[in-house]
Amino acid sequence: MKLITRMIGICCLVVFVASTAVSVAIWGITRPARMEEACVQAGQNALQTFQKLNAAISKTAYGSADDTYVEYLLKQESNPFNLCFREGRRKETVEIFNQTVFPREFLQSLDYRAWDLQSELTFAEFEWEGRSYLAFQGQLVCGAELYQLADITYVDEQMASLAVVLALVTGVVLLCTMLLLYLILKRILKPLQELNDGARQIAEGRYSQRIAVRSRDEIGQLSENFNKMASAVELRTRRLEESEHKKTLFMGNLTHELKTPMTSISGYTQTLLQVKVSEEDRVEALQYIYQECGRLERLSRKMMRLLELDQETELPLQELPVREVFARARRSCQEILRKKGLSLVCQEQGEIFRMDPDLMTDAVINLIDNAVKASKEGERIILRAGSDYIEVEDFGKGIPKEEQDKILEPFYMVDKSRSRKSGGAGLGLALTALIARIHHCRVEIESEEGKGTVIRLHFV
Amino acid sequence: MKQKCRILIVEDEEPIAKMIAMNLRVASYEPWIFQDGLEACEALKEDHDYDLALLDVMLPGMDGFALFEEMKPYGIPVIFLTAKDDIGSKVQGLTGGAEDYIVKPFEVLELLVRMEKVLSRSGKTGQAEVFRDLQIDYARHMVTKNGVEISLKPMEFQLLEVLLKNRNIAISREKLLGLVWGVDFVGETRTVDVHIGQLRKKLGLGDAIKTIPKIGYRLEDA
Repeated sequence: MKLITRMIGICCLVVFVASTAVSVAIWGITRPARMEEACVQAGQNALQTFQKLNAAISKTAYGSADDTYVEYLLKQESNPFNLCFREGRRKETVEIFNQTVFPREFLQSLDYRAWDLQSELTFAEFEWEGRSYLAFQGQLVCGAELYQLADITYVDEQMASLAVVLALVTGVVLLCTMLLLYLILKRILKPLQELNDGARQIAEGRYSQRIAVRSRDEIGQLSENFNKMASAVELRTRRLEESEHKKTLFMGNLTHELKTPMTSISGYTQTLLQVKVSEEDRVEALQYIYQECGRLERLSRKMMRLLELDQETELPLQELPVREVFARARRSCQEILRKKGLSLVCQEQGEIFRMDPDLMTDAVINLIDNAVKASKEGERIILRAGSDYIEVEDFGKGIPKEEQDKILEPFYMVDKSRSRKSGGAGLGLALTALIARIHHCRVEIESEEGKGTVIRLHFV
Repeated sequence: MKQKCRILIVEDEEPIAKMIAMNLRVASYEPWIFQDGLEACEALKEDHDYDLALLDVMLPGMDGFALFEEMKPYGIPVIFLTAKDDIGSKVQGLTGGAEDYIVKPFEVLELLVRMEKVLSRSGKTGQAEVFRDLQIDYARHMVTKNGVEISLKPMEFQLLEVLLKNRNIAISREKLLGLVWGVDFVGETRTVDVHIGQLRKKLGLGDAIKTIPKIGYRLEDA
């Protein structure tokens, strides 16, 4: 059930109970008052009749009138509810005047109470055939008993119509309450509805959706918190998506790097197997197969290294003089430097860093390798150490600004065809970045197109 | 005999480009290699008399799709050769009007067959050919030897056609079955042997059609 229905239901129930109680109370107070009023009215009538008859009888000669005279007087009153009886000598009942169905015994059997203190009039209530009556009784001066009946059913009828009115009022009040409540609740619950809509949209995956917070109440606070949650989810989702995207890209690049040499190897192999080729072509094909196998081997070695390093987060580091690392790197790079006619200048003043000698040498070699690829023949490469850094500077073609953040990503190559020819797969700098991370180093790149590049490992 | 078909190869990976060229030369094509998209584009302005172009998608200088757009005015049919095997670039290549799309790594024979299809579709292959002392007329399905017609069954003719178009390349019995009879299952390879026997006998190609152990048959030029 919806909240609004439930709230209206509960409120209506409360209102109904309350208004019913009020109605019952009104009815309970009104009824005795009305009865009393009717009683007084009827009593006064009866008293009047009684006194009138007594006065008329007293005027007669003996102060006592015979039955016919009394009958005559009563006929004159022309009230069918007047009854008059007399007790005969032998205690029998003499009916002087009775136009009703009630016999004297019935009237005598009623339970009479005094009507007021002044008169001797007594009265009783009784029900007859669904109607309510009052019976008044008094002794006439002549000794006869006078009864006067009054039909007070109208009081009940009035009470019944009052009950109908009260019920109607209750109904109207209920309807009004319902309508008012509906309008008010609708207004109050509107932000809740908005919150709900917003939440659903977010749940459907539109994480950028925000809920317009308007009210300052609990719903407003909830919306605010919900927005905060949505922001957190959005951020996290985006990060996950980014990392997923990076992974896909990495896999795509890896596949490409694998497929290219595979295509050559499989193509040459098929050629050698199926095609009648010249001796010259045969040698060329075999050379290419060998070359591409070497490329695959280098690629897999670097991949393995990347994976290993990615898992090794805490490596025991030693305090080592940077000179040692530089010397090892120089030895390793001698061949490629010589091939291109480049000179490597080492500048250090016996600096000592906490590092893993093998990994740091690897990183430096990769940096030198990178510098070699960017340099033209006969240029210089400077390998320099400072108080808290190691850097490699070249004076080659430089890296365009927009590519500087990307060069540390695996498989990224500024100039694809050129690095391919020199046997690279774009993993060198990614490896260096990883090694830097293990050494808690920051990698800084300063480069200007056409002037050269400095890549610095900054110890922090 | 018709002049050799000139094939433009734009592929930055030298080993792959050389490998394709090696096979094309053997199959009597004339390959021209470019390793840079921009260079190829410039060269095309001077000389665009090519019968077919094989383009890599990821190229330095200018990517394959851009180069393809530049080449459109010359009306050279294009087959894309690339390691990018995602559907997106496939669709881009084919809806752009490329004739075919081959994903690396590919089989050399597959490349040749597809090239052959494209060339015959664009009417660039010769309608007739001469092989040794045989004149082969593809349009009329006729082989004449020294002016005398030799009657060949339809399947024998098609087998001859496949061998001729992939000459100097060994083709397995299964491949031949697929290419000639259009069946792709192993087992009926005896049929191929029987038809090869017929060709050797009827056309006197006993030495030209070589049996390559463990692989299949190869029709050799000389």
